[in-house]
Amino acid sequence: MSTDRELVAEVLRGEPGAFERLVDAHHALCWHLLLRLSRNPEDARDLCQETFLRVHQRLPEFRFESSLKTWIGHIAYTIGLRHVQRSANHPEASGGGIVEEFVESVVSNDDVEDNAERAGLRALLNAGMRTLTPVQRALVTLYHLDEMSIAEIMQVTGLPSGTIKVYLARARLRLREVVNRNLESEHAG
Amino acid sequence: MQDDETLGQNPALAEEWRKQEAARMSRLPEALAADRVLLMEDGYIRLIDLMADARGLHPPVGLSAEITNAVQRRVEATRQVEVFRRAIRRVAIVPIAGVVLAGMASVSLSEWSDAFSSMGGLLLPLLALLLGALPLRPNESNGETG
Repeated sequence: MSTDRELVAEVLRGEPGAFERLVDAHHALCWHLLLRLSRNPEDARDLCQETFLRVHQRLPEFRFESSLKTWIGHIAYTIGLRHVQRSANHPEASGGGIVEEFVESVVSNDDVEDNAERAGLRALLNAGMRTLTPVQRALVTLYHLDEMSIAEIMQVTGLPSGTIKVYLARARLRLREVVNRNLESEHAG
Repeated sequence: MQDDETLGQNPALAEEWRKQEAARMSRLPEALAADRVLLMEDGYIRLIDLMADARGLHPPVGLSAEITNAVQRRVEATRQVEVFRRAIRRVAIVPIAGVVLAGMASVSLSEWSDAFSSMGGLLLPLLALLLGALPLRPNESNGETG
């Protein structure tokens, strides 16, 4: 597996398949982040393309001051956040809010064979995610799904480490509250 | 997608899935220490397990190729627009610069001596033609996405 430097050099030299490998290595992170921020799979697809177009344009300026992963993550985060702000100003232009239904519909295909309790928890988790702010959703995704360190998340988001920790703690507290409340109501019912 | 049916039909995939599960479980203490779990009253939920299980969060199949193709198309379109724009500028600058500089030269004719002005009147449009024919900028890399 080539290192960041080798991969970037190959892309800049225009070697066949190099850019494809770069996209392949980093598109999952962008998808997680942009889907959680935009909450719309179609928007996330477009934003992923926009992200990698920007990556392609700016790659000659990449100075390896961070890892390629966090640099691309930062571009995706910036594009995603701008999309959230635009959508907040023009809510009619966005089909926001359908990601949870999308996720749950995909999950439901396997629910028959799946552990019912686990499926229930997933639904509760998604319900909890709905209550978080876009930045909190992004942080939870980066930390808990992509397993990035706080230092890496700082590079992606540009937020100070203290702010990230506080946002994450609040997000977990919120998720715990939502999950617990729903579990209690299920038990009571 | 590692559903039971797929795993049952594919021992290699099943083995790989078991290895992944074992690796994930081995990281549990570390995850616990790093607050990567959602602590509940009666235990904990590993957020990564739940989130990763939500398969809608996995990139759609073919997304990587779709992105690569879209970027390559847009880069190529941008390159063609740039080539066209430079060609237009190069073609347009010759008559425009020629007219402007010839006009300037003819105005100054009245002030220059006859010999000098007639020379200048010829030289300046010629200079404009030469400048217009030169590339406006050094050749730029077209940025292959390869």
